Order: sequence, then C-alpha cells, then structure tokens
Amino acid sequence: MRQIEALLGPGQAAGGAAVRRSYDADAYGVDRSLPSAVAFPRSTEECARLIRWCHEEQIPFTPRGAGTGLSGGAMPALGGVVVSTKRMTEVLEIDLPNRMARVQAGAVNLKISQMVEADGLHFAPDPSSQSVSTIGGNIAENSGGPHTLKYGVTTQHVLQATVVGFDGEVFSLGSLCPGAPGLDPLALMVGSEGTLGIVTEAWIRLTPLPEAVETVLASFPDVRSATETVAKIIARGIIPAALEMMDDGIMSAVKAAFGLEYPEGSKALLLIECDGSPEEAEAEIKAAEAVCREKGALDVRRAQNSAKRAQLWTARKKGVGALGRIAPTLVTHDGVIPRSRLPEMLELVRQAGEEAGVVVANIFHAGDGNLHPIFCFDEREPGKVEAVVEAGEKIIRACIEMGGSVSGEHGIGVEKSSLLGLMFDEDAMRLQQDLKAAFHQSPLCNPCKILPDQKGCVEHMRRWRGAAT
Amino acid sequence: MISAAAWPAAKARLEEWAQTWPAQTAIQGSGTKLRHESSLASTLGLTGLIEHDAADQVAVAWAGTPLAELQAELRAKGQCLPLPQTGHFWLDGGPGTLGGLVAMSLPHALEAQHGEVRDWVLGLAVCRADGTIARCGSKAVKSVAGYDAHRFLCGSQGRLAAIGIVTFRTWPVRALRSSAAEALADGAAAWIQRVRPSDYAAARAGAESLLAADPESCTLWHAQEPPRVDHDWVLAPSGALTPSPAPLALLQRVKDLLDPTGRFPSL
Repeated sequence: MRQIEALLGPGQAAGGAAVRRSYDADAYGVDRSLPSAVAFPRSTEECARLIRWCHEEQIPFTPRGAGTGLSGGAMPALGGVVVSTKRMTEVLEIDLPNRMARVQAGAVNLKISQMVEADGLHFAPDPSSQSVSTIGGNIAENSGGPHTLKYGVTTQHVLQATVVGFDGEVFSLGSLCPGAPGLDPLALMVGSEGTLGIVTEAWIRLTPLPEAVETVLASFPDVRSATETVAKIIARGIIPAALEMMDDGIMSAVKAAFGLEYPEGSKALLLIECDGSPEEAEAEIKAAEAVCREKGALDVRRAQNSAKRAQLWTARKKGVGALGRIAPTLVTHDGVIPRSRLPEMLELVRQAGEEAGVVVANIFHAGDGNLHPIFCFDEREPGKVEAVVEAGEKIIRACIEMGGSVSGEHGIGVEKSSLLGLMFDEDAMRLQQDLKAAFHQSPLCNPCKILPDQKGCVEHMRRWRGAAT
Repeated sequence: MISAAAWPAAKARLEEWAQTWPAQTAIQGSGTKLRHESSLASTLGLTGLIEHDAADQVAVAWAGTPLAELQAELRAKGQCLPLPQTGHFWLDGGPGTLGGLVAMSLPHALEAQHGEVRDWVLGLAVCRADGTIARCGSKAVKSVAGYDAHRFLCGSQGRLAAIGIVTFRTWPVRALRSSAAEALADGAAAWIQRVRPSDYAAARAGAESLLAADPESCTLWHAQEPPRVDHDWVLAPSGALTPSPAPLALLQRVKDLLDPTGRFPSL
C-alpha cells in the first residue's frame, strides 16, 4: 500500500482490514477473495503508472467500477491490487453537435444522462444499476438494460476507448466516426470484463431523447398469456423501447413494500413502453394494447403523464429491492433464450426453484428473451448456496439447449467460467483464447475471469466459496 | 447458432470445404465487393437458408447464399434484412452473398434507421486457417458470453478466417423504415467516407465525385478518392481503411494467432 502511495500520491491507496474486506467481492457475493490493497488512480496516466508497477512486480490486479457486477468480475480472484475508478469520475468533454461525450471510466451512467438531458440527449444503455454503475463497468460488462431492446447494448454506444494494457502501455481503440468497417478490436474490448486491459476513458454516443413516450402496464391471469403477448408484439413488427415482465413473486413483494394494487387474479405483469414521434409512439402502443387484450389481459393501464409513468415502472425498478423483505439473500441469474421459448423456460425455472426449496421470482427483459430469475433464500441455512448454484446451472443448461446463451448481460466473471464450456466446444474455446492472447498472455490482468482453467485459478476456487459460507 | 441437431452435418460440410482450399486462400463469394485474382476458395457452393424462426426473428444461413435469394425467401415469411433495395449503396456489382455482406460490413443507406451489419449478426461458424471449425455467438438477440468474436469478425474481409455460416436477426417487412439517402450519379467502384455530423455539410459540398450521400448516417459514396476531413474514415475500393481504428501491432498479433501460416490475405 505504501508503495502504491509512493506511485500515486498520499491517500490514493488503502489497505486496512475493513477496506480490504469491503473490496473482496462485487454484487455477486457468493465468491470472495481479499485484495492486498485498493488503489485509486485519478487519471489514465496514473493508472498506467500503477499497472506498469504491477507488471514489474508480478502483482495481480483487478479493475473495479461501482462493484455492482453480478458475476464476480471485480472480485480480486488471486488477491493483489484492486484498481478502483472511484476517483476518475469526470465528464471531460461534451460534443453536442456530434452527440458524443468523452468521459472517465468512473463517471456514473445516470449522471451523464442527467448532464445532457436539457440538451435532449441521453446515454441509452440503462442497466438497473445505472444510478451508481460506471461507464467503465458498463463497457467491461457490455451492459444492457430495459431499453436495449430498441437502442442496443453498450457496444453499440461506445465510439472510442483509451485502454491501459496488461503492462501499463496506453493505447486507443475505435474511431470518433461510428461504423468503420474492418478490424476493430474495440468489439472485443467491450464486454471483456477487464481481462484484456483497463478502459480508463471513452468517447460514448449520446442518443436523442424520444419526443414522445407511451407506457402501458398490463396484467394477465397467467404467465403463459403474458409471454405469448410478448411473442406476438414482436412478431407484429412492433419494436417497443422496453418490454418487461414480472411474475406474481415480484407482484406480492411490491404489494407488501409499496402498497401497489393489481387486479384480482393477476399472475403476471407486462410493462410496455413505445417511443418516437408522437404519432409513432401512439400507433405502436395502440397496437401493443390490442395484442394484450387479444391475449386476455385483465387490465391494460396507460400512463397519462410522467408521474403516472414512473408509478407504472415502480414494480420493475424496485421489484428486486422489495424482494429483500422475503429473504435475506438474493441471487439473480441471467440467461437468454429465443423469446418464443419463454413459456416453457419459465415453467422450468419454477420447477428448479421448487427442487432447490427456494422462492423464485421473475423480473426480466422479455422482449430480448433475457431471463432474470431471482432466488430468494437464507445463505446461513446449510446446503442452500449449493442448491441455488445447482438450480442456476440447470437453468443455464436449458438456455443453451434452446439455442440461447449462458449470459445475456451480467457477464461470465467467475460465476460462469465453468459453464462457458457448455456453450463452446474445444475449437470455439480456442478461438476465444486466441483472441485474448492477442492482447496479452499475462496471468495478472484480472485473472480467473471468463475463460475456464486458467493457470493458478482452479486451486483457488474452493477458497472463494469457502469465504462466503 | 445453428441447432444442435443440425450442427454435426453442417460442421462436416465446412470441414470438407476447407479441405478443398488452395495453400494460399482468398475466400470469395460473388466477387461484387472485393475481387481476388487467384488462390480462390469460393463460398458459392455453400448456399441456402438453414433455419428461420419467424416468431423469434432469427435466421441461420450458409455464407454463399445470394442476398437476393435470401431476401426473397425471408420475404415469403414477411421478413427481411433491412437493406436498401437499389441504388449505389453497395460498392460496384450490387448485392452479393450473405458471407460477403458480413465479411465486408459496409455502411448502407438504412444504417441510421436499422443499424450496422455487425449489429444484425448474432453468431458465426468460421473455418480457420488450420481447417478447424469454430463457432461464436448464439441465437439469442443479446449475449455476453465470452469475447464478442462474431462482432469482431464482421468486416474481417476473409483475412482472419472464412465465414461459413451466419446467424442473424431478421426484421418484419412492415417495420422497415425509409432511407434519407440520395442517389446523385451513376458510377462504379466507390470510396466510402464517413464524417462527423458537424462536418457533413462541408464534406458534401467539397466532394467532387459524389455518387450518393446519406445525411442521417453522415456517409458519402465517392467515385474518386475524396478530400479528407478531421476524424473521418475512408474505405478504399481495395478494402483498405484509413485511419486504422486500432494499433497495427495489435491487429498483426490477432492475425498471427488466428492465421499463423499466413494462409489468408495479409492485413
């Protein structure tokens, strides 16, 4: 720690027991590992100096934004230094005519959108963590969110990134003009979970706010009619800005927490948002409402103003928090399937929860086929963590069998590195390894994430889990 | 990706195809974008739509499938790839094959409305220089499983691996928007330039051999090499892009790892 302070200046590192403890995991609390120190560089240059030192001293390092990641990407798997972007929060430049901004990695997603709101712009990716999560973290995880159905995930909103490589060398990827054909490794850097280097700065795209937004909350007597509605809306060629689903587990939690009322007999909610010009938004939402009614919706409520819209979003935005009343430990899973398979998948999720003996609630991006079953349990109960991990794996296996993916937006991290082999055979894995090797072959740059069987990681796995239970 | 049941046969077919390649291998579809003179390995024997799930709006097809055929088949189910129907928005020769579309990932006149080609690709099966077949991506419309290899390989122009099968999103025909691009002159081989919105008017006014222009995506198609503006990029008819979006040493390391014997054309 003192050596880092010598490099970065006094107060730019911490190494006390309490600090180390609070940086031993991200929001995937199942696996934990203590760092030996936490560093707080203030610039690309300081970050490069730090990483050069780590490289020379052969010390592992793990970048970290707000620590909201859900797959253990910011867990210091082999100890060493956690490189926090907490003091790199500046918005360095806003280019309104070209709708882009240059920001430091630690800049908070929502704050950027708020800064340019008066100019009619926003940063489109809106992960649920957006009020605290950082651009660096969003880039590392290729974050999505409810509105990515229409606006796309983070990779479509990053123009250029400044990267500190595994050895402290600084380079830039991408172009200030989007859409350049040809080889652009920025596509690999986005979503690489900090394993290829640390993004310290980025030019991001700012997207015009839609002129009009129409929001509907529809309640259904069963999950199947809600999922069929999703499929039909998409099939009609409507691309809502958001198409989110919540089941009765979420409904009862938000009823208890916020006193929200839904029609008698409701077992599933669909939140549908359409935007664009006033005519477009109106036409699309009308068509979506018609599909809801066709499919037997019990109630179809349209927000008449922005206050009412915020109210309709309550269950979606605060649903996970409300689950805290049900159980002390929540584990959110993440998998994707072709959306037409949602009805059978949700049945499988229900069964998996039953077998594990835990409550499962579903709140997810239905339009993308991106599931987020949430397991509610008490980790102090013996065997529960293992049962939940096993149930999660069962769901992921089913996702892959249906042609989907092991992760829609939460990443692989340490949580799923052993599951990646279910999706990728040996040759597919070799392609992944080769692409990583083009950046470096160092075992120090956010080790043990994404690719399985990395040197020095396997023997540590039991230790991470042991610390959690 | 292609369904598990269909994969073994598809993989075998790709392996067989790779065995027919010459020692130096220039992958070519219909040759409408990049035309190689020798060492050709044609994708034209690999054609057809393998799967199309209209409800999921996802399709899987062989790289050599002519786009015109593919569009007709998708349209029969009310869907399509959101590509402009006519005009200059291709390099010379008009629409070619699906593999060529992906390998080139050129700008097109509906990009502002429907995204780049690489936004449509969900997964690939590629033949590597050593003849092995690697898959990446999935059939899900979003996925963060591993490094985004399929997005990276879009636009690789057959220099790193040969694209054999493409999994991609399809759009309902009724959801298609119209392009704001204007066609200005007839012409063959095009230089493609993209500029920042703040430079578009000046770049358009200064262009001397303009074939087409799209104010929405700020793209200019020129018959001759265009005058440059700050922060633009220009794609030459040869497929060369300036400036490079990444350090050349990094790109060369990718090339050396994916194609260590230099079987495919150099960067």
